[in-house]
Amino acid sequence: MREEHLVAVLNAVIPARGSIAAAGDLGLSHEVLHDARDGSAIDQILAVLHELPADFDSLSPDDQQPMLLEIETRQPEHFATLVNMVYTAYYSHGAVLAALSGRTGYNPGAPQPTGYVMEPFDESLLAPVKQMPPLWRQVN
Amino acid sequence: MSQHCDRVDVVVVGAGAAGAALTWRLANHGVNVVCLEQGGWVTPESIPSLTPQWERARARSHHPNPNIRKNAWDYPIDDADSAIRPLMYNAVGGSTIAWGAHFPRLRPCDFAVHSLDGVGVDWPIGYDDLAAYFEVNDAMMTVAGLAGDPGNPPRGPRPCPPLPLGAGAQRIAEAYNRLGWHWWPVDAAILTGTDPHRSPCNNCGPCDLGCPRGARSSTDITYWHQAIAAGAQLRTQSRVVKIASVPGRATGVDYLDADGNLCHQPADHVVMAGNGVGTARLLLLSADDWCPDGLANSSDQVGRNLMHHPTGMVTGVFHEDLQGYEGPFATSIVSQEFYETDSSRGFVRGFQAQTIRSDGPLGTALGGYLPRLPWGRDHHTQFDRQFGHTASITVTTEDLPNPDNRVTLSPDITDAWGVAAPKINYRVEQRCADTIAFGIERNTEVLLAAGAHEILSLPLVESAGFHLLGTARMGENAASSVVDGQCRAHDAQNLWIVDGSVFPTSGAVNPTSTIQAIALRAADCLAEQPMLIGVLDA
Repeated sequence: MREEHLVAVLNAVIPARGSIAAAGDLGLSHEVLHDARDGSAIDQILAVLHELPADFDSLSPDDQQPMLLEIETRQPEHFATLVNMVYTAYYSHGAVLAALSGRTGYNPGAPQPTGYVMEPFDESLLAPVKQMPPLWRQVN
Repeated sequence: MSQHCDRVDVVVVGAGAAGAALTWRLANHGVNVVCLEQGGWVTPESIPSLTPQWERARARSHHPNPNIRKNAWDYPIDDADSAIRPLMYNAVGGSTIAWGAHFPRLRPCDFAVHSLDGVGVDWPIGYDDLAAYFEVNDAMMTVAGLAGDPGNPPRGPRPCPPLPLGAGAQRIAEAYNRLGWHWWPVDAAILTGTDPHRSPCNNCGPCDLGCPRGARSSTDITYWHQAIAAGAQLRTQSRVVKIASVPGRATGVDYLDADGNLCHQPADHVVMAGNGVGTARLLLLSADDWCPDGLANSSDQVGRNLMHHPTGMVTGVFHEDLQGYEGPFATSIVSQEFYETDSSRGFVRGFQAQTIRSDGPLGTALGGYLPRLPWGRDHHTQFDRQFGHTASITVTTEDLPNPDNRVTLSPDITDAWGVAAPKINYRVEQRCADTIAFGIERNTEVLLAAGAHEILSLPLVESAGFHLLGTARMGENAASSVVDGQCRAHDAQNLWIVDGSVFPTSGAVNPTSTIQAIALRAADCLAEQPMLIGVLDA
């Protein structure tokens, strides 16, 4: 059992960015484990963690990444499950979305009820297409 | 001991795209019709686009794959031997609850692929048999679009004006013009005009999660209210487990109600509208002494010839911020420049090129329609390059019938009630792979002409199993098909099948419009049956 390594693994999967901590340091490991148990993926996550050496946490990021790449090569489906869960937790986190909004103007809230502006369709773009002959085959 | 319901003229199984349209039509003919739906109503308040966690819901609780979503009223699908993951939704509205609402029609050539191109089989009906029903259905589904497309037969004025293109589709449309290729704003089942009971689209984006405004059409808000007002009955949380029959006739259906009670609904006619997986599953589950291999299966075609639309995807990455997450993700423009057969390409039939907007932050990271973003030290750099900066074009190919692509009953997996789950065996044929390879090259040309500085492509989108077709195909020959051109089973003349399972071939466009037109036409045929004439006259 290597659950204690999960924080370090999450940090390697999504490193820190500016004022936003890496995925593990954001405290997402509990959420990932909860989701894994809820979605019957816990065995896959533990299979990945089980391959880690006992000193994984103390390794540098430059040493951790190739080690995880090797595990990904050996267990592609299990590792993909882990990555998907980390991405899901990270990009659902309020601080991450708020920072994204600050960088890009993206609305971090719900799409509804505000939506976005409905620009009218500019039919003049279709002028050359309207000159085309029928492109469909007649069938008797 | 099962509970016995009063006899009805018609019992319909499934309240999705086809079941809703047919039930509405029958009710307006004065037919005594009841529809059984294993799911329930989806309330506007429950739709995830009202919450900041909408993308998380899309990845989990509202995923279109029932194996991931695992709603109480779903059934699992054994898809371990399928190259494409089947998707569906079980609720009033069926899979129109979780769709993008792209609403093209099959073209005339799609009904005669054997005669025209020497592959597949011809349909026993043609485009002209459905033309009037397409128009009725477009009005009911409040289709937005623009008449006059040279890529398709003429059609009436669209009920609503077209959707906005957005910056990405605008660039792609201009590129098509420079290349001299066809494009047109899509027909979309999305309200962009006015309606007394619904609010028009406000360009929010994730149509597949449902629409709390009621702008994106689904049959729970289009057909069902009117069907019920016309006298149809709709019983939700009613899971049909068997079509009861005697030699040559269906006699009704057995179903489990919300409390797990076994009920029997007798009917003069039984209509299956459970999609290309669910209908085949139920026909196979309905084996009896006189039909040991499944109901309506003397031809051994039930479950066979499963077709999807194998789809490749090409994505352009642009320097400009396109804000591609704004607007209905699946509906802007479509090109059918390469739809018809050109033998110089080395394969027959063609593809549809549908422009897709880009995704929210989680969707961008997870991929699906484009490769998943890398993890590790390059993650943030790649995220910044792609988020809001992409536009994609599909290569949607025409699948053709292959008897080895099929639905059977899983020997290992059951639903929550112990009923065998469907098992899918499916592989993509080489002709589709060749078409996708050709389409990726053409779409790459377009995206480069549109200004993309980087191209990403997927040769097969595994999660694109939206369209479930062919598993109870129509045909004139009872030895090689399951239903006739009216959708009536060869083996049981009062059993009708009206969903996508009756497609003999798939075309290369989204099928819902054609499925519903077929269902409306079948309703008119059914309503003319002798036993119902007295009802109609009354």
